[in-house]
Amino acid sequence: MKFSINGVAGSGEPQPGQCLRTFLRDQEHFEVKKGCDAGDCGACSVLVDGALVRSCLYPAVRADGAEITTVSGLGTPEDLHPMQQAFVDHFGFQCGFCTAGMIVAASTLDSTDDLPRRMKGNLCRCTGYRSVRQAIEAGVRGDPPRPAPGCGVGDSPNPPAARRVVTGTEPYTFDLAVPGSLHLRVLAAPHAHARIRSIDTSAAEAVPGVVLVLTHENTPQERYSTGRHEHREDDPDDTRMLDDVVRHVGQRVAAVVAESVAAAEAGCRALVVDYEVLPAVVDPEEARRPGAPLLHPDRTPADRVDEAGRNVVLAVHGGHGGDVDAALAASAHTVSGTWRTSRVSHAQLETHGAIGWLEDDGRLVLRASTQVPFLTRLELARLFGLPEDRVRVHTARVGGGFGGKQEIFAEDLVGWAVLRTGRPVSYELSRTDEFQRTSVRHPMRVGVTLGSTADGVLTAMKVDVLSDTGAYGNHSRGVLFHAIAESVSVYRCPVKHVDAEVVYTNTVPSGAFRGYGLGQVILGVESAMDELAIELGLDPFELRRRNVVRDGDPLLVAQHAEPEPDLVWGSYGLDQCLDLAEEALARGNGVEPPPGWRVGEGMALALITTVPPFGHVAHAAIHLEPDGTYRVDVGTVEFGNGSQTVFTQIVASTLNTTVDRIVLRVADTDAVAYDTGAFASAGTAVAGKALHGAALDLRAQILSRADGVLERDGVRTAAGLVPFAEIGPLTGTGAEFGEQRSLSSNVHAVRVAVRPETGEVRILQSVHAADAGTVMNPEQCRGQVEGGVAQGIGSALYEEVLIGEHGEVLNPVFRTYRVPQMADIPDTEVYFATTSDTLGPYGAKSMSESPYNPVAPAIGNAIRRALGARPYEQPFSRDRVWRLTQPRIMEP
Amino acid sequence: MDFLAPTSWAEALECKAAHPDAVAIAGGTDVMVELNFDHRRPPALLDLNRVPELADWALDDGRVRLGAGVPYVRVISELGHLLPGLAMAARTVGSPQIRNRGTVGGNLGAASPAGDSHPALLAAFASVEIGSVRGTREVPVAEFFTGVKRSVLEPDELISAVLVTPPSGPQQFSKIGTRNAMVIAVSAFGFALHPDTRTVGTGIGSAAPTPRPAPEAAAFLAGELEAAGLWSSRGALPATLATEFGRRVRDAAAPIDDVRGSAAYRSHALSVMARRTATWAWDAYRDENRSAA
Repeated sequence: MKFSINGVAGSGEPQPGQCLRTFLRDQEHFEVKKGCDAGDCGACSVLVDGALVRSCLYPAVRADGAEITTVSGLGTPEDLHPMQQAFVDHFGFQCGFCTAGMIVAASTLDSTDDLPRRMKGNLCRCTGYRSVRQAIEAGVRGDPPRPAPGCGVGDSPNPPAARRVVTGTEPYTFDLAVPGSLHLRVLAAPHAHARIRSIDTSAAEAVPGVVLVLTHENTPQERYSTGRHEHREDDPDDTRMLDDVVRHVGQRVAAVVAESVAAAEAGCRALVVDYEVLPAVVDPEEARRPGAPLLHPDRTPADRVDEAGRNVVLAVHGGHGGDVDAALAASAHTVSGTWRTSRVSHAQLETHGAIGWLEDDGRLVLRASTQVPFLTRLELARLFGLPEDRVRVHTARVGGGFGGKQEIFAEDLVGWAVLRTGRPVSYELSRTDEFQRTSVRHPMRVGVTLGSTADGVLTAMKVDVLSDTGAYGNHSRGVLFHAIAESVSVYRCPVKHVDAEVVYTNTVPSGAFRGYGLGQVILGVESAMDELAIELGLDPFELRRRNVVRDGDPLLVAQHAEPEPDLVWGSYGLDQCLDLAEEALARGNGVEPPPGWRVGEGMALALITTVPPFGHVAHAAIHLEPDGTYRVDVGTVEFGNGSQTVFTQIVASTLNTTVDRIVLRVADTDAVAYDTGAFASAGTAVAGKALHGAALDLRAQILSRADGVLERDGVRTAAGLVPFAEIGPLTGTGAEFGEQRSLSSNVHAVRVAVRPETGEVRILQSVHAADAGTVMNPEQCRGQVEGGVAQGIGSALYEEVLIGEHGEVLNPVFRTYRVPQMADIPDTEVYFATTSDTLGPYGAKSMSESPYNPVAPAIGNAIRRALGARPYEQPFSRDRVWRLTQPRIMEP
Repeated sequence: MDFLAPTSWAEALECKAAHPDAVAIAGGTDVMVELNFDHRRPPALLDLNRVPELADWALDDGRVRLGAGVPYVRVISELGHLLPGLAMAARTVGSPQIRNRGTVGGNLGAASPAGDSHPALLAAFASVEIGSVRGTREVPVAEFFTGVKRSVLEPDELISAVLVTPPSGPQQFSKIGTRNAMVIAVSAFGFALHPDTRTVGTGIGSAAPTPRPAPEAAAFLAGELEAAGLWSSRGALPATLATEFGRRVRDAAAPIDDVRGSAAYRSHALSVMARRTATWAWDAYRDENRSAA
């Protein structure tokens, strides 16, 4: 058939049943993205003869004779379409993976009336939509480009990739043609718990095009964890690449490597597996009872599984200050409640996956969608028995992560298949794979009991946590430790006690996710604090002020009587955050509730350390070229967090240059010696600090060669300008080890309206105050806050991965798993405290995970005050909120 | 997999007769998902996109004949006056991208209990025109669905059109989702007043194995309106009557707990929507009278 793409005539024959999206990508139009392949996310939107369609639902054969326009046909980096320009100017993207489809859809608008309904076909997981909305409004109006921004610290320059992202020319993981590449697909387990007696691979191997079938019989059987940390001992060794026991529906059973995706899928269907079905346990409370089916009975504390005989990966029981029950009994007031949180999917629009190949010298190369290339290399080298330098892992721009890519979910199979076949291999997960086989936020049951004096001074605090890690323990220990850390230590209270356990169940594994467990326990603690405020008749802000840690106070978790020695108050801004949020809520925003709806206000706070415990390492190098170009090598990954932008700002400020003189190389194990990775909000605080060190080092070297003032084109000395050609080349290096940690804080406040008849909740005003220290890039940092708030709203009101009675995921698609759309997310007023941190570069602190943490409790507290009844189970869906209004069928 | 692309209705019917296991594809918004996810590998796809007879609508013998291939976007822009309930439902369908491609015929063919068109068509007493090489037949929408994703369509049959009498009174459509810009309904309800026959049309979506009317509730409301002389006087709809109607609609449904919501909430939502839509429609009926006077 014949067609034209972006004005260029083409021809080709699609495969039977092929959709236009994959056909366009076969033509190397990589700007057409896959987020779901089910017509729900909009990332693949294109114009066919001017009409906006989802190319994943458009049969390719229908494009015969058609004119197809993708985002790359609207404009080029040098000559942007007005809508593309507007997305650059308004920071209308973070990871940018949805942006191609978003801009194509927006380009068809001639009005911004009812924009949320017009844009309901396009999901964004990063931004929270405010910047997208403003970009579209500006694009439709045809606003002139914004004047060139400054590029130093404190300015708001655009991400270096902005013009490429908005034109679809910035490559992501799979936007690379690898000639001769094989495709890998995985057979999923149909049972929640079963032993594999045998796998007959003969029929699969006979499928034309199938090259290799991998099972537990021909893959490394050493145990590891998919979750990655600076110290591999942080996670239990309970996972095999392919195991002879399946422990959740959807677990990998075998992998088929073939010349085409269709052949790999046909090969998977041809596998004959004989299962011995075992009893399964889906409920975490059941799982730790005597007699429950055991998921990992042979693991021991040496594998970091504390009590395999009870399905318990980690148990933390302890307290300080005395007997907590006695202290509660002696308290003037006590409040108590039990809260439940749901499984939540990261729903980053780029699914997991990797492409691998061998270099000429036989070195294994992986291009992966990961936040942790160095940690992945370490573990794969160990698993494959290779020296570390025989493996290279790197990323292109990563289409969102949120913690979900602090794992190895594809690289192991791809790497092994490359080593076995000697050929390039590609494995891209589907959206349903994401739901069934990657990870979700740990669902937790959180019991909190608080005691206080008549004046509202806390006397006792008791926290009981049950976390469900699913079938594997990746991140389960770290998440539990983190969950009961700053949620508890933020309050001064003489008696604290915690009972916390994380258990295995035969369900999809839980893993790392923005907030890393804190949000779940903060829901319990901050809701209980709200209940205490109601009990005392005290303003909730005032109750917090009476009890929060103050500058210099020790931070005491329940299980230790002494603070951790590496925690320091590099700055303190919690007081400012409380004031800023309270003032904004009191000011109001003039939005009225609809008639007949009830109104309530709520707030909650959150504290978080700026760096993870036990170290986080980054190295950076800056090479000065004789022409004045600075080549910057950093190990950490850009996945929408904006770290590349901040890196250029640090270099520009420290070396007094401009962004066009800075060339970044990031996220490649070849770039620098080592980098722990882009997680735990460490991008600016750790990698940024290493880079700042490198910049200072280089600056000192330059000025030692020419004494004067460093300028863009050289050093201004008394004798005139000394050009870099007479100074360089030079290299400055820096490193940071995360040996000390400071604290960031966040306060969220909302006014909501609730319609009792239907349980609908509308957020009338949303306010967020954040202490990020020096705000390196105000527009970007605002976007990080808004995005975290949006994910908080999603968790609070809409999102839940539902598990059936056999442990299966019931809603593994975006049509039934509800990622918020533009219509669901209100604008949030964002306020920054003015502090400067003694640890971070230029006084900056972390601000990427923490905005998520206080959102759900603030909304729950507002619903409580609107209805007089408290929601205890997340999400506070319409269904559940309506039931709160019904007598007799109330829950907890 | 074969791709059959007939260019006339006659050719389409011949194709379907020759390949009864071919899956008909209109907008592709359902079928392509199943293909992409490898849920379905039909031996052939029957593309109805190039059949001109399906691509338009017309007034035919006093009824609107809506071709099975007309996309929602055209229902919204061209048929708001003739098929008001359906146009309202079409506005809530998916996204602009989906409305540009999805069709009422495809929605019927998929026979999902959650199909957005169905409640409106049920309330309007619409019929489905079905063709095969054996001839043409007409089935009331209320009799079209036989089970979850099943209908009366025989393997050699295709949907050619939906037939609807233009409204003699106001119509309403309501849908409760899980969030603001809902895509998939927790439950949905279509309502139509038919003053010419002094009857009431109802359609329940997403709250039973098939879309279904609530005939008992409809007859009750029409009878009470008659008894109180309200069809003629156009007096206000008593709140108690609207509430009782809502209760009876709720009792006509048979929802289950599923990924969209609990059975209790879906039933409750239905009673609220039935009460509201009846009230809105009746108020519009009264306004008609005032503006006519």
